Amino acid sequence: MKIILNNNNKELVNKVMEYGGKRVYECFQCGMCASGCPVASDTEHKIKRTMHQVTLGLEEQIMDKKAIWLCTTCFMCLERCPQNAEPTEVVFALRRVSAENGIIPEAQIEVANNIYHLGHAVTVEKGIKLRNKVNAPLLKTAGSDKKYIDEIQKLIDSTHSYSLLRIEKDWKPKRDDVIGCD
Amino acid sequence: MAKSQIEKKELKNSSKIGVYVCHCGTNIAGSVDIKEIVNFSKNLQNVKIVREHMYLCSEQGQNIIKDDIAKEGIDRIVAACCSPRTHEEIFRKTLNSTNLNKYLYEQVNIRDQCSWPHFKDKENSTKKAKQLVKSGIYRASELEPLEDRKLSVLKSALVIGGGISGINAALDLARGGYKVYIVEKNPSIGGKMAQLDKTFPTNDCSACILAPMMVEVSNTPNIELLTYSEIEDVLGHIGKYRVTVRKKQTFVDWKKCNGCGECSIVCPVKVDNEFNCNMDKRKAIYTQFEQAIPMRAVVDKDKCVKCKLCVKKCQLGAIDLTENEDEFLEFEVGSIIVTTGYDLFDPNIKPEYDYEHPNVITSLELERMMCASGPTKGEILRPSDGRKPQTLSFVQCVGSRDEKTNDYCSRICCTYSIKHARLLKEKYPDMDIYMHYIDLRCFGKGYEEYYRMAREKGIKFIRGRISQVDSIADRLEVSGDDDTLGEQISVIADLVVLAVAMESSKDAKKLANILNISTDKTGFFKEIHPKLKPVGTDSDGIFIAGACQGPKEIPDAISQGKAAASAAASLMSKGEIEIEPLFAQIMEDYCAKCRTCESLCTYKAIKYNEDNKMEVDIALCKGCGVCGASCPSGAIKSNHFTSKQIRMQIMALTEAII
Repeated sequence: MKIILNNNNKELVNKVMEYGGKRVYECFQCGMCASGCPVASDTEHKIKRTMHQVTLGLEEQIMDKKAIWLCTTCFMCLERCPQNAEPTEVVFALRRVSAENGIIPEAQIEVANNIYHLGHAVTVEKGIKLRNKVNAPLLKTAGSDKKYIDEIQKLIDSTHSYSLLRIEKDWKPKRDDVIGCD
Repeated sequence: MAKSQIEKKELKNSSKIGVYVCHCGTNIAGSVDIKEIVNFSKNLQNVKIVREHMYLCSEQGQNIIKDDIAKEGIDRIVAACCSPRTHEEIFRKTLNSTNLNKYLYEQVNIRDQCSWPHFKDKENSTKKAKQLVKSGIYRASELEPLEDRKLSVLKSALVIGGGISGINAALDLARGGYKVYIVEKNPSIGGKMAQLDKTFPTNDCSACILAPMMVEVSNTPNIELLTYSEIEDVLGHIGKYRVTVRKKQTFVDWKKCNGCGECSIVCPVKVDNEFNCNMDKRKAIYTQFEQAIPMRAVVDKDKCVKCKLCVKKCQLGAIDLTENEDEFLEFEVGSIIVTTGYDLFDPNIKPEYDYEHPNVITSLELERMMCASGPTKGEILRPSDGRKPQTLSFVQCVGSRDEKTNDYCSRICCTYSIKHARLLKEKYPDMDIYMHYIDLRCFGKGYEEYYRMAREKGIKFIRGRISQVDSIADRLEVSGDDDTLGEQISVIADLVVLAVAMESSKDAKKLANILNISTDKTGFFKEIHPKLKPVGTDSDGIFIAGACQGPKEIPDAISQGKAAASAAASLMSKGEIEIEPLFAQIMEDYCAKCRTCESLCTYKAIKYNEDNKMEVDIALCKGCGVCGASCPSGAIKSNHFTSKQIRMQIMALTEAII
């Protein structure tokens, strides 16, 4: 599809810079970020293209594909970028822009609720059972004490992440038996 | 027939030849069997010693040759190695340091002739090398000792072209005490740089850094400035060229004129102003630009209507509109530096870019607009309606890197377009600026930083060549490809700027003929060696510098101007030079005075003199051999390329090698 560039829309790039991707203009499209990206070959996440789309203000193209959520945030691109354009930071910034627009994949909402209610991104119920079975002491984690969870909730409540991430008060973890440490 | 059969059997000469085969690392040894060459050469007649060496031109390699001359009594040297262009002089010097005459040396180029072109076929490459080495050995048997000739050199130079390169060459020579003539075809010196607004990568004002140098040129007593003049003819040779300059009629007595400009104000004739890329008008009587050196008026002969308003206005009585013949000036110089610069590619050759449209302009036109003294006084306005453009597209490589026009990269366009984009963005932060490139080549010191700062200012760089420009209503659609997006794109722009290629000057061929120097396939003057002799030409004593040799930015043009000045100075400083004795000699007894040679000599080196004899001017003669080959009575001998030497070579080349 032919892309028409006929305005000087700086809204996206300004937001990305404000939200942490402040070096996005440094990118000169060498492709080092994309060539080392562990998910690029199997997903639609093409970081070099995303960087370019930001500078051109092609917001719809970026948001439509939701590929920015497929980044594993391994920071490989950020470490290697010869211009220090910090592509991972640009991805984070784009996710923030996307969340503001109400576009967040279901999986991310689940993770957010996990953190809010359990203190962990993933459930550790199965691990606790295993440790009990061999009489191993329980590990201290962010979710091992109610007071830690209260603190996490206080933090999230005081930011607008609470509404953006669609936190549900009566939320139940879904995949208790699937995710865990075997 | 019988004679050549006798020669075939054996070489008459009983010289003692040393043959030295160089590996040149793997450069030669990689695809020529050195051992086989050595064994083959050993069995050839007159060969006393055959040696091989990894790098023959090293000090160690040269010492081996010296030792063999001293201890083994070797009296002829054959080196099978690289090009005589770069290494003949080195080995001749080696011989010079012994008691052997340096012309008893023969170089066989088994690198350029064998290992390089036939690198995939070692067997045949070796076979060819054997044949060539044999011919070298046969020729060496017939070599004769020769003595260099001395020539006196005048301590004055001619600089053709008064651009930034020529100005620097002239100033350096003048500072060194040499008399310098500058010949410039325009009314003022300054060249293309005078048309620029700012210069990368420091963005300093072009006029501010150029004008002081121009003033210095006019204030230097031993520089004679001949502007509005052209080279008519150059005769003579290294050390003593006789130059004829045509001084175009200015109709203004420059001794009286003070450049006040009153004449231009009253002149009623408006003419396209070339200095501002024809974007505004000048008068028929004009000074070229505000900082012109010399600041003197000239009359455009073709446009003047002879109303004589200027004559009446001029209080100094400097103007006389009577047409006269152009004036010719003759003088002699010891060396010549050519700095005639470049021309710009005509974008009409690429109709897809719609240069006919008023809002499609070249970079130089934009440059003139950006200049405070330009046609728009520094404002960027669309030529169609005089409005400020909102969106600008820079189209790179117009006429460069294109087999249909110029296959080479013009080197400076990337950086000057970035300069334009940056300066515009600084002046108009809301302007939307796109640059369509295929590779950004910002190679100079500080240029990468310059490019990074352009990105930081929000200039959008899109990789992909623009395929066409169309007008849509009062705007322009720039259609191209975005390599990163993998999609076609089109930018709706108000102004399109074409980065047109640097091309050889239209007069380059004519000047090359006058000076007897070569041009390459792109029409630029050809240096004698691209790496080792970048400012030399095939005519000794004539040097080239700046963009007349190839596309160049200002720092490189200046460096070459200074390099050429240094080469000219080192040639002239001693007042005399030694030249190779490779010239033709007339054998009086055989000469029938038919004067065939005289008419054929390109260098006008043979003349029929007052004593009714044919005479060779050894300074002019290049030893090309045309005279010798054409002489019906065989009366001309070309030193170092005698018939006998060549016949031996041919004999060796035609004998089968087993």
